Order: sequence, then C-alpha cells, then structure tokens
Amino acid sequence: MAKGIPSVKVCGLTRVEDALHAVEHGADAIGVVTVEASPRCATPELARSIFESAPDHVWKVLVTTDSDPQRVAQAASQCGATAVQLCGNHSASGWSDFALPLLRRLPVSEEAQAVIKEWQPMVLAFVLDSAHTAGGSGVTVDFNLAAKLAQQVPCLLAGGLDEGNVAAAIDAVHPLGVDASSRLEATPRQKDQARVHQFIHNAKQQMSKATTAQAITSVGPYFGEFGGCFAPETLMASLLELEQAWRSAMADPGFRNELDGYLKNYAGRSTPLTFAQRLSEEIGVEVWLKREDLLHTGAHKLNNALGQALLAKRMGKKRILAETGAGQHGVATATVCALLGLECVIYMGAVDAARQRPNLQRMELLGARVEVVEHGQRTLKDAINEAMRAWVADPDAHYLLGSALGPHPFPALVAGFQQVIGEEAREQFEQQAGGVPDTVVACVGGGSNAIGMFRGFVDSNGVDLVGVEAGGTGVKSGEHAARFQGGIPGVLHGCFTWLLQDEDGQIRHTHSVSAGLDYAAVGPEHAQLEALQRARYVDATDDQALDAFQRLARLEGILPALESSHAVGWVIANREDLQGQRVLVNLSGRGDKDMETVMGILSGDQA
Amino acid sequence: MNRLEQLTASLREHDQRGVAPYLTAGDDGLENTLAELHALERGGAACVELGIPFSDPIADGPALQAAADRALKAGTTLNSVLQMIKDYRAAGGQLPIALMSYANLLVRNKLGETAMEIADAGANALIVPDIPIEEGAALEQACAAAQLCPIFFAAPTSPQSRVVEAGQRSRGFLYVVGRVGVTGGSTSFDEETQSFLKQTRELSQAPIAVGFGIATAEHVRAATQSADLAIVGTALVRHLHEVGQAGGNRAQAAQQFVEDLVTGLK
Repeated sequence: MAKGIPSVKVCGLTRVEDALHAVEHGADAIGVVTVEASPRCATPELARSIFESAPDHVWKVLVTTDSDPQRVAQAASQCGATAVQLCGNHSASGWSDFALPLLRRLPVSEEAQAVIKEWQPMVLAFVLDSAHTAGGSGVTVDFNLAAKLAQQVPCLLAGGLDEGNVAAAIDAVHPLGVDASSRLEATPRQKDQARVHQFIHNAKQQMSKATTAQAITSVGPYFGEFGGCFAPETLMASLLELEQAWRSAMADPGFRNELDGYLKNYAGRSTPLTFAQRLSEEIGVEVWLKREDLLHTGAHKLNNALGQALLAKRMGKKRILAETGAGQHGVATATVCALLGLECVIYMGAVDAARQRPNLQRMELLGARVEVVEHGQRTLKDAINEAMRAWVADPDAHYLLGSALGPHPFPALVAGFQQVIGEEAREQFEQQAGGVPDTVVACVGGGSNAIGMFRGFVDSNGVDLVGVEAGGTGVKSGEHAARFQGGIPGVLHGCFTWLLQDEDGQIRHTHSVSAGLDYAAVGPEHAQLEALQRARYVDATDDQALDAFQRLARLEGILPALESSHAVGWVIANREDLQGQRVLVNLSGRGDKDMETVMGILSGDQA
Repeated sequence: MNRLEQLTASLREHDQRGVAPYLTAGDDGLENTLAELHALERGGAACVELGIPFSDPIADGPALQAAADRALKAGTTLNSVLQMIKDYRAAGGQLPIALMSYANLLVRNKLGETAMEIADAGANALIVPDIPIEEGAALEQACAAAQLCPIFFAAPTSPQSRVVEAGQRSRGFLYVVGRVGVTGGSTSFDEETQSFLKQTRELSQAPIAVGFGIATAEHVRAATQSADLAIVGTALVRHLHEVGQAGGNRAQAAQQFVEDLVTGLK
C-alpha cells in the first residue's frame, strides 16, 4: 500500500507506457482523469489497465468532478484506484465516510478558506491549483498565497508545473508534494518522456533539499528521530514556558535588536575572520580562522548566554542556574548575570574545577556562586546532572544550558543563538576570500559552536562540514569522547542522541584533555546531520590537539582553547587529504584557561 | 487487569489505602533485595516500587544516587533484576511490582521487547521519570502489548490539563510528586500540599500514589488523606543501608519498617 502523502504525482495519463515510464523514474503517484470535458479523459477500462501496470507502493489516483460518493466509490473500485482526487465544485456532504484517501482540489484564491473549512476533516491533502479551472490547465498559481495555504494544511502543488519551474515552485511554496500534467505533454494525450523524467528528478532533488534544510533548522522538538523532551514532569511546566517565551521573543524585532545591541557593543561582535598565513604555508592547506576566541570572555559561549539571559529577564526570572565543563560557559553566564543584575549559581565538576582553575576564580570574581560537584566522574556530565536536579528543586529559576543539547527547546534554542557565527563567517569569507570554503571544521563537545558554524553553510551542499570529537588517547583505547565512533543512540539529559554507554545502558566514562569536549552525549541536531550524511564526524586525539595548540601559538601568535585545538589538530593531521583546499576552522575559544594543563603535560607531569 | 490494577481498583472500591515501599534493586546485592521483597510483603506492603540502578539519575537526590552507585558496583543490570523478580514470583511472592527505570535503560534494546521481558519476569508496571506525556506514546504502546501499566507523573508545577491527561494515560496509578524537588527531601503535608493532593485525586482518572518525602507513619497518615498509595523511598533505602553497614539483618529491618508505616493507614 502507498503510505504518507505522495511527493511526486504525474497526472492526466492516458497511455500505459507513459505510466510505466513515470513510475520507473520515481513518480510515487499517478493520476487518471475521468472527467468527460477534459482533453485527457480516460475510459474506466483504460484507467484500469493503467493502474494495473503500476506496483503496489504507487498511489493510483482517480481524478473526478462527480459529486456522488457512491458512484465514485464504485468507479474507483472498478478501476483499482487507491485514492480519489475531487475537482468538482460540490459540497462535502456525504463524503466523510469515504473508504479511500481523498485529495481535494484547492483553488489558490480567496475561496480557499471556505473550501478548507468544509473539507479539511475528511481529506488526506489538498491539491493547490489555479482558481478558475478544474485542473490540467497549465496555468500557474499565485505562489505567495499558495505558500500560506501550504503552511496551513497539507498540500500538493499543481498548476502549470514542468521540469523548468518545479524547483523554484517548491522553493517558494514548500508543499508536501507536486503534481504535473498538461505541461509535460509532447502532443495531446501523450507525455514527453524525457521531460517527465527531468520533472521527477528536479522535483525530488528540490524536495530533499528542502527537507534537509527544514530538518536542520528545525525548532524542534525533533531533528529527524533525534532530540525530544525526556525531562521529569516537575520541569515540564518550565520547559513549556521557556519554549513559548523563546518563540515570542524570536518573533519580536525589539528582542532581536536588544540582543544585537549587546552582541555588538558589549560582546564585541562581529568577530574577525583571520587568514592563518604561516600555518597555511607550513601545511599546504589554506586555513581561515573564525575568531570566537576574541569575543568578550574568550569564547563563543557568550552568544548563547546573552540570548538566554535576556530571555530569562523577559520571563521575569531573577535567578540563573548553569553547568560548566571547561568553565567558558560558566564564565559567560556569570558575566551576563553581573551585566543584567541576576543571581547566578554555577555547577562544575571537581575534576574540571581543578584543571580549569582560572575560570573558577573568574566566576567567583564575577559574583557567581560555584558549586563543585563531587559525584560520578566529576566532569561536565555530572555538572549537568546536578544543575538539572537544582532546577527540579527550583523551577522558578532559569536553567541557562550552555550547549545545543538537553530537553526541547534547548537544542534548537541554543543553536539559534549560536548561528550568528556561521552567518557572519559566511559573509566574511565571501568578502575576504570569495565564494564559500571547501571544508568547514569545528570541534564538537555538546556541539554548540559547531552547530552555530554549520548552520551558516548547511544549505551549500558543496561545503564539506566536519565535526571533530575528542579522540582522547585514541578511540581504540576506550579513553575518549568520540560518540559517533564508539556510541549508540540513547537518552541522556533530556534528549535522544548518540551516547557513549555500556551494553547495559549505563553511561560510560569519557576522557579528553579538554574539559569542554569531555562529555558522553552529542547534540541531537548533529546526530541528524550525521544521519542525513550532511556532516561527517571525526576525531582528534589529545596529542594532535596539543600539537595544534603549540603550532598555532608559534606560527600565528594565537593560543587556542584545547577544545578548538582539536579542530585545528584534525586539519593538520589530515593535511594530505586537504591539499589545495580552502578550510574554515571555528576557533571557538582562547587557551589561557588551559595553560596549567598544557604546561603540566609538556613538562611531563600529567595534570 | 494485572496485579497492580487489581490492587488499586480494589483499594478504591473499598475506600482503603496502602503503603508502597521503594527499593533500589541490587543495593547491597540482589540476594538482599530478594529477601527484602519477601519481608516487605510480610510486613504489610500493598505493592513495591523497584528501581533499576542508573549511572545518571537526574530526578534522584544523594541518598538514591548513592544506592544506585552501590547497586551498579555490585554488578546489577536490568537482566539480573528481572531474574531476581522471577525468583521472587517462583517462591510465591505476590506483591504487585512497579519497575522504575530511566529511559535509556529501556531504549537500549527495543522498548517493545524490553517491556515484554519485564512483563515475562513478573513485574506489572513501568515508571519512567524522564518520559513525560509528550514522549509517552511509545511507552504506552510497549506496555499495552506486554500488559504492563504505564505510569506517568503529576507534580505541583503541572497545569491541571496535564494532570488530567497523565491520569487518563496511566494505568494502575498516577505517580504524584508530593513536592518540587528531587527524591529525598522532606515534604511538609501542609494545607497547600493537602489541597494539591485532593485536587489531583479528583482530576485523575487513575488512582494516585504520592511519593517524595514520606518517611514515617505520620507522613503515611497525612499522605493517604487523599492518595490511594503512599510511596516510601529514600527513608527506607537509607535505613536499610545503615542497618546493613552495622552488620544487622536488612530483611528484618525492612519488615519492621513497613509494619510501622502501615500503622499510619486510616
């Protein structure tokens, strides 16, 4: 049986060979018209032989103007149709119990709302068509109005589509499917097979592009099968409130202006794009660095912290809770709380508190209370556990989650506040280097800097998106945080995503030299990008990151954070494969915080 | 109707109340847990909530986290707990068992198959603290096929519409979080809490069990003014651990603890 809603329908068929050809090239619905006034009218016998020629998974749609449900049911059953498309101007009475799925012609005009109101409860989808004809006219519709209707109800787009205009039409209207008929004919009642083939190809390509773009800029709760909202009931009211506030803020130009003002005049956006000349020369790869390390507080984290803190203020919250791994998010949160006069409590694992001591001190200087977490492996995961528990006990506070993970709406919300990185970088690259980079690289812990960067390039299919996870002492050693290499999908901290877990489902110990990548789960939008094969996820080891840390210092005068060093380290390690390419790396943070760790390791004392 | 549904339907029918003790399975080893289940039954428990230990229990306070860590250290897994439940049933154990597990342990293998194995072992319900009604459809389907009760939550922060829906979609009972916070704090059964429980009883189609912060017979008395079941978790787990540490008999202590709690039933 055909399932879902047809995505490419070829209609007005009058020859079995045309039907076979369309199906062979991927049409998932075929239509036969039984309206006598139509130039493409087919007899019941012809309809039957056409439908019989097509395999089970193809929708066989009988197109009629008949207003009598019994008569139509009989005709459909006689010719073996699996769905009926109604094009007459009759009322909906008598159609509510119709046995087959119904498609209903929807005129793209002011009459549309009346038709929707009457028919919506009983139809599978509407077929958007020109206002004044019964279909097959070759007249295109008003795309603006059609787009609005397609947002309101499930729609296929028809009306004058052919291989030349179908991509633009899909782009403008975003229908669930497309339907073409008269414009694909070579002569009356005979399809031009080459054009049919091209139409199906172009339609499918554009539909899948639209789906990809939609899937990755999703506002959640799901990114494909990943994400969701796996949170204790006590938090659900707060999460729902947050989602609503976020949506309303996003629709409010005043909020956006306020945030942009802080990003520019307080945080220092835009951050520069730097050509790494000496590194490029040394490795034979043209490397460009997006300098989030130059943002106030020294990392991209401030983009999200500012956005969420303003949102919290808008919601009337007085107290902020947050977790931190490397301490960069903790510092950013403590900073915005000082700026906006909010109370601030930061949860930090004891291991991280020791290896990122300067950041702990900064948070305290900024007026935050730092709770050092002594449970579990005492790193980021445990800090999130404790922050979530604190939020369960204190739902009036705002939990300012620092990465693109956790329960809905956090993954989409955080990515939304970070996508400024990718938008800026794209524009700067175009201006300074021309065009788009061949490869875009970012390190992935939870994945907020990477998703912010990727969102700027995801719709350019030629750009290779590479997320670099922490390879630790090597994926084979088991001492790492490379979720896509060693993980299995599951639920942690509120979302369904790739996780490092043992065979019983217990979360596994992770290791990385960098606290910010030392985490067992990856953000769900990355999981979906990987599933769509739109981005690939690789790893860099502790040693590769340390090498990159030192090289960037010596060659460019930049001390990168150990997290960001993983992205640079992967580029250096894979320079043979990247020869001659233009590679954009997100330098997500600065490395001052890592001095103790790095010096300790370099002097042979494993910190 | 499975064991748990029969129990709570019967409590409602006769206007009775019950005590539902909570144990972390495998705390101090599964042999102890098995003995404690029998002891709780002798002591007068109406049913039992049995927690599968998880490495990252975000809805639990320090006492139950520590119990989970001990259980994991003792090598406890979902499968070994299911074997223990089989042994309990084979020895004639009658208590309805509501298994509490975080979502990850259940989705690690296919949820439908896991639910089937849980039911086959002799458990009667699934309580999943990180599956709210939004994500509940798969849990309901798996439970329906396995004849397990899916149990959802209501909290003091839940809008009424959510309480109604959670009550409709739960079987056996609706789990009512008595106060805002993780497990192990104290709940004062003040007027506000009592009116929340009373209202929840009215809104919920399913009978209600209240947990979080019930430690004594006095608390049981207060909680069961409106609730069909009073769940006693942290206090019992902590007590048994102390008894075990001191070299005492955990099962005996469990029985005595419940015998005392049930004196609070009206």
